[in-house]
Amino acid sequence: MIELKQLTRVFGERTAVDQLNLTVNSGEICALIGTSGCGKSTTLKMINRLIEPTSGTVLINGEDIRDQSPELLRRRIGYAIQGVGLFPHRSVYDNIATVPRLLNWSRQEIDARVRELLELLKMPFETFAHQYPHRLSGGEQQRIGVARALAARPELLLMDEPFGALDPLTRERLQGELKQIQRMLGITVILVTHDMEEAIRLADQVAVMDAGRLLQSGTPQALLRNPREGFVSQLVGGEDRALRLLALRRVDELVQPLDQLSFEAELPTVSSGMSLRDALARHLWYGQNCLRVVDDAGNTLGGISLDAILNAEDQRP
Amino acid sequence: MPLVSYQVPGASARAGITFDRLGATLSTLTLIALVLLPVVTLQPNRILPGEGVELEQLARYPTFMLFLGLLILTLTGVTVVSRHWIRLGLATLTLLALVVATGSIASPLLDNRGAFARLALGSGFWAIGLLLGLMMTDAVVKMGLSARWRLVIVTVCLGAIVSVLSSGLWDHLSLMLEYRNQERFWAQGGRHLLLAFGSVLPALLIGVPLGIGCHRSAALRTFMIPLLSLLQTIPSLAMFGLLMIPLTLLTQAFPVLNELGIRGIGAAPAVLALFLYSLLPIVSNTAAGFDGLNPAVIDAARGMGMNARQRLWQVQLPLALPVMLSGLRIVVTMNIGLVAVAGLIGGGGYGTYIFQGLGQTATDLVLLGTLPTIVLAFVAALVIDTLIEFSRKERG
Ligand SMILES: Nc1ncnc2c1ncn2[C@@H]1O[C@H](COP(=O)(O)OP(=O)(O)OP(=O)(O)O)[C@@H](O)[C@H]1O
Ligand SMILES: [Mg+2]
Repeated sequence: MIELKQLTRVFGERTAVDQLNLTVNSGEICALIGTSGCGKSTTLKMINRLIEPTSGTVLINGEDIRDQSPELLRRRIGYAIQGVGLFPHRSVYDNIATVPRLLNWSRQEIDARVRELLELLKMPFETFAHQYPHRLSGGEQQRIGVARALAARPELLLMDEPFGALDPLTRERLQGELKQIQRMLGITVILVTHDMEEAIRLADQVAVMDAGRLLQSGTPQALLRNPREGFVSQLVGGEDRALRLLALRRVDELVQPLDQLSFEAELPTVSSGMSLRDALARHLWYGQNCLRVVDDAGNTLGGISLDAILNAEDQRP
Repeated sequence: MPLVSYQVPGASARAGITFDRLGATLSTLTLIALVLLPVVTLQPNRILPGEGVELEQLARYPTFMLFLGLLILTLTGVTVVSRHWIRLGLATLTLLALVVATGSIASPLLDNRGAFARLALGSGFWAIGLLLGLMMTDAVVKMGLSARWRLVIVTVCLGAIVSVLSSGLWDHLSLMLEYRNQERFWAQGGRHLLLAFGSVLPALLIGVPLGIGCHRSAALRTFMIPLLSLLQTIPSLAMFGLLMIPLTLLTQAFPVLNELGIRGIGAAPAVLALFLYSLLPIVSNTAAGFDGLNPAVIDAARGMGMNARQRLWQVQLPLALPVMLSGLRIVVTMNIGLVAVAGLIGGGGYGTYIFQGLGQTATDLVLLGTLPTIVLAFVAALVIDTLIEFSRKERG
């Protein structure tokens, strides 16, 4: 568990972060979101002591981070940033090995870990290990940035707009991979982003900041259903909110037996793991009131009707 | 720059033919030099000015005819052939032919002219040699060769020239006679390099930390850079003079310094002056190299948990190295030149020959000091270019 308590940082006249209180549960992803200059990066950097707070404390599993030297603390915390910051004079292998080497891991341990991470990120060792960063695409560089941050098996990963510079398709794919890896490793992630879609897609908890203050924090659903007046409502969007809420729910929540539905013989299908938002799009595309729901193996589970989707969110204003 | 090569429309269709304006200009200049300037001059003795030997007279010798034939081929080549390696090959061969030809005509020309007569290389030789060098440089630049390959080419050319010289082919030329008189020629070379690098090493030891300091502290920078720039504007002879006074006083006060070889005159003020000159390029390039580092990389290094020393050695220095090395390149070439000036105050090195030669109006002795100085500076620059290339490797 990560606890930020009354965290404040003043730069000269300017209060970048103002008495911020936030708790992030272990094994969850927390997205810090807000406009440019609202203090997101400053907050993140106070967690690994790249910036020291003016006042307030940060506790990791109840332990004050100031009990440890900044270097030792940082080697325990993964850090991935926008612009990646890969070392251009070191190969992919050596970049990933950075923190394990600082921690004096043995050669065999490091070698095994680099192989494991490259495999985890679906980058073949033979192709990539001995490449230099400038030869990689933006998406590949970002993956290596994540691999490097994860190298020493940190329990906490800090990410500052890690996918900001990528095209939408690559971004979405990497977001998917990140979520998968995070679930698999059970690590805690605090992620800074500008992008509400990204926050909703990835996070278990979204924390909205403005002008150094925390305005509201909660699950994506809670934020979408009951945004606070003003900045938060603006950020979560007006009419889009309904669609965003649908994006958080899955088709299998609304499956009905097919015989309850009036349907034609050859119905187009949706898979049970799809989001309701995508299912809605398919209804519209095929001009159907009802679609057949199948599982990954292709077995029919039932059907899903347009009405069910339209009534799924009764919080509509 | 008007001197650019371009393809004649239509001509480009025929493979390998072009019209090169730079090549044409260099060729014209070479022909003018060949006609107007003497390739070799005959001197009655070491000091008296010589008389140019007519081209017709030279053309009687087959080696010289061979050179002339190659020269015409080269001049045509650099004007119309578009393959740069062909131009490079032709110009190199012609340069070698020139060296061989001038050597082989020496003893027949000197026959029956008395024991003191000498054959000296004339302005035509140097002009044509320089123009051929320019043609070679142009070809090498346009081939886009890496520093490593340029170093190989220069080494091969120098090797060829040295083997011609040591084969005795030039033994009758005045330059080689002058060389034979100087037993300490190679030792002077060693001393020249020792003086040049002896000032670079302390300048690196002090300049690099100062440069890093300037990168970190704006206050230090606004104080250091103007101060070092001011030092840089003091002419070298004035600097030697300025340093001689305090050094003399110092050695009078502490005779023990004398025993260490430190005197107001000689190597000490020279090395000290070169050290002072070296500081600015090293300090400013180090600061620039560190300034230019990508902040995301430094942020990442900190975020990974590297401490200040690890960041410096593992990230900042290796990444700033190419810019720092280009500062070193400036310093080394500059110092090799300035050491020649230090010959005047008894510092030793090739400058000694230059100033002795000037005193005796013996042109060949001056050349014996100048040519190796130029070669040293040229080769040193290329070696550092190669180092820069390696330090940039794979970095994109
Ligand atoms: N080292 C610093 N010195 C002075 N002011 C700073 C420093 N770092 C940040 N600030 C100021 O603090 C405020 C918050 O900056 P921060 O980088 O945390 O914003 P951010 O939310 O990450 O913005 P962005 O989305 O643009 O990255 C800004 O007004 C910035 O100018
Ligand atoms: Mg930021």
